[in-house]
Amino acid sequence: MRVWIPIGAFWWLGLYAAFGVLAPWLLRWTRKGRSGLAISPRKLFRRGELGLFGLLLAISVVLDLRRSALPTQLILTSAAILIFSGLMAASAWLEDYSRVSEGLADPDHRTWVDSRKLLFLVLSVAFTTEVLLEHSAEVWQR
Amino acid sequence: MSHMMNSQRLNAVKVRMSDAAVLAGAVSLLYALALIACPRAFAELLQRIFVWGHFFPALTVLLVLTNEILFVVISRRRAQRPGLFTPVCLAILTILVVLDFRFLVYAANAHAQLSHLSFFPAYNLVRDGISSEELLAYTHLATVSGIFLPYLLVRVTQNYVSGANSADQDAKVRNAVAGQ
Repeated sequence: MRVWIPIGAFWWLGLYAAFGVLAPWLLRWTRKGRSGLAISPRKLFRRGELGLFGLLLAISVVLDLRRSALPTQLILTSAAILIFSGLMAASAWLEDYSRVSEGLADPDHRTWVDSRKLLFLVLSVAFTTEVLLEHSAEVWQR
Repeated sequence: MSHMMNSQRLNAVKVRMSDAAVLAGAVSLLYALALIACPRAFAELLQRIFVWGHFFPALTVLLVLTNEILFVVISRRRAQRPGLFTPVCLAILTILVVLDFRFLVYAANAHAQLSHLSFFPAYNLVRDGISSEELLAYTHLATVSGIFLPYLLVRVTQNYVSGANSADQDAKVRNAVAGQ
């Protein structure tokens, strides 16, 4: 059994995870001494910011899909599903944002859980799409 | 009658989008891992099942079973008794999603077979049918959508129904206050 390693997909995943989640968390961690605030990811992203990051991820994969040599019908279907799941992830942030702007500042613990789980969905679908893109590019090169 | 409807409403299991999102994400990751572990064998296996004609029936049965098991898990976790209406709706919605993808895959297959005809100058690549890469991508999309979309539709319907119920209750309270 030959294991094939999609380097491009792992590179893409690492880049987004580093700049989307780790970088803000590390920045906050470096400021901990001055502000004295808690730095757990749950507190940092409690307003559902991970969901918004999910939408950005989905858009980046749609741009990659546009550049691929796949049939238009397949590109449109994949893009629709990615954008749809990205929007659902972003809705977790939007719900919390609307609640705060209406003056209901009480944080909902479900926002963090929902945004985290929906980001997992977007990340998995986006990663698999990147793997599929790399696979098809390799097959067509042969 | 209204008492019975109220008790049914109270027993309805509240579904959240994130419940299905975790399962759909996990299935998607497993799919990627299978493709990484055996890229050629996995693609060939899917192609073979498609040629045999068992592809969509098998996908439908698997997705309906997965969604029903997930529904039972959700209702047990929330200690709620599931009715029959929501599981039936979930099954029908799953079958509809798979039927959509069946249409897309057969359209792509027909598109590839038409490439043999010389009066279609747009087709520069002559193929016998849908390529294994296209089939891989469609299977992935069908699997993820087949799990996530039915739950999303059920969730949206539940939001709409609970919104309508609370609006009804508000109207009743307002009428009662006005009557006093």
